Amino acid sequence: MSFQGRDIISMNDLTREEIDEILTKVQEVQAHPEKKTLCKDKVSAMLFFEPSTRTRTSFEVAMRNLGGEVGGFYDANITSAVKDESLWDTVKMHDGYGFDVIVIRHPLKGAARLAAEAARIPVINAGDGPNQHPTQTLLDLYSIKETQGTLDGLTVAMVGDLANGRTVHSLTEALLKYEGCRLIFISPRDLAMPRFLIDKCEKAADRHKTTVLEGSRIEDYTGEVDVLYMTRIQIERLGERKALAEKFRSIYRLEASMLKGARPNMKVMHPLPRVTEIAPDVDQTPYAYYFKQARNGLFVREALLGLVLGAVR
Amino acid sequence: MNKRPITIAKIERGIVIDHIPAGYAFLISQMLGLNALARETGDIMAIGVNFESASMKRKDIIKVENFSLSRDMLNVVALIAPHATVSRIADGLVLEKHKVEVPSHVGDIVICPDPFCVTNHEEVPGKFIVVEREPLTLMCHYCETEFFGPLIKYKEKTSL
Repeated sequence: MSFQGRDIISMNDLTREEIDEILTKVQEVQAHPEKKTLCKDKVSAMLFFEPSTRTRTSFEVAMRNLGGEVGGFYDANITSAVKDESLWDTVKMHDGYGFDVIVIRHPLKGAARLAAEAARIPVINAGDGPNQHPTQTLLDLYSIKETQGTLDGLTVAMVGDLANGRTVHSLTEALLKYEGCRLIFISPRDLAMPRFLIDKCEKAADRHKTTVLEGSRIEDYTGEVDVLYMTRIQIERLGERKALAEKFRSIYRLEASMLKGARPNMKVMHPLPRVTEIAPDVDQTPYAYYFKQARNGLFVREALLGLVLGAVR
Repeated sequence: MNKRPITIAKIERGIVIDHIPAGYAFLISQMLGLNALARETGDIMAIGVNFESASMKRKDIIKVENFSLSRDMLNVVALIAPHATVSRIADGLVLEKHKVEVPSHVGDIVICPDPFCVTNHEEVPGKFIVVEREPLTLMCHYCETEFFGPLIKYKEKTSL
């Protein structure tokens, strides 16, 4: 299995075996004796058409940690995009400048796939609008595997805005590739997991023995989950129903006192940024994992860059 | 009720699209750009709607002289009328006749219904994967949105 030259666009393109291979390489890259020079003389083009904090910084640091360099832009307003240059042309141009890999974030769905078709060099999707953000999903999977030792047979609860959260959709689809996962979706009805994803879960029931259930109170499940994946209630998505958002935020909030009956292996995860959904007192418990999870993002991105650039095999 | 022997006259050379679900002939004709074609070429075109059929009760039928279907056109027919048959006619005889096949992929014949899809903002020909044949469900190759039923909007062919 080789990832050299391969585009990383969507979790749907990756098989279970390929995901496992990438996760294995994460540790390998961390322990690599020549890690600091793995991507020496390689340059990554960062094409950020949309603002980003964590993804951008971690890709940048990842490339530098491997001895590589970064170029590109982080604000489409200072590029020719304001002159209506097409995405295709912008990518083609960077493809010809001698970069070795493109990392792209774009507000439109499907932009990364289009960029990959325009470029000869590998393209990594750092988020195409509300569609895919594969490096986030891979770091989520890596964190789960790191803390639970496996991705099979786990009970994973996802909490909060399950209607609009790209990370929970992608994580759900990824876990459907594993055996015997028990998925619990905890959200207000207005922000429930989309029907098409519940259907997909039910289809996976036969093939992978996945079970799925929908709940409305975090407290009902804290004692039986291996992973509690919290998400932010996106106030901006609720439009004028701001009062409703405030109400949801107070109900779907995790506090340390709610974790009394939790399993010892249980971990609380969150794609960050968090607002009020995890009380600061949870940070002090052994269950808090979100900052380590975010740090894993750096390691996963290092591994991916190493893999697609052919520096790690 | 007695059977009414209504038929469309035979054509000498061209194509016959038969077993179209009742009421869909106009949609197919519009999407294949047959109206413009007939105007420009002056060739004979016949559309039959709600004809009696042993297998379908009612069906539509389209006959076009001096015409053949491209791959994309055949795909349009297959998506709209998955049980249609297409016959090629020459010298008044049926040269070949076969059922259309719903393909596994289609090209730029459908419009992605997602307003945030890159194909609706950049000049990119659409590509779609047929994920389900019954009911017909498509997935956009770019934004991965799955859609079916009335969300499937065909790109109208406006020029030859």
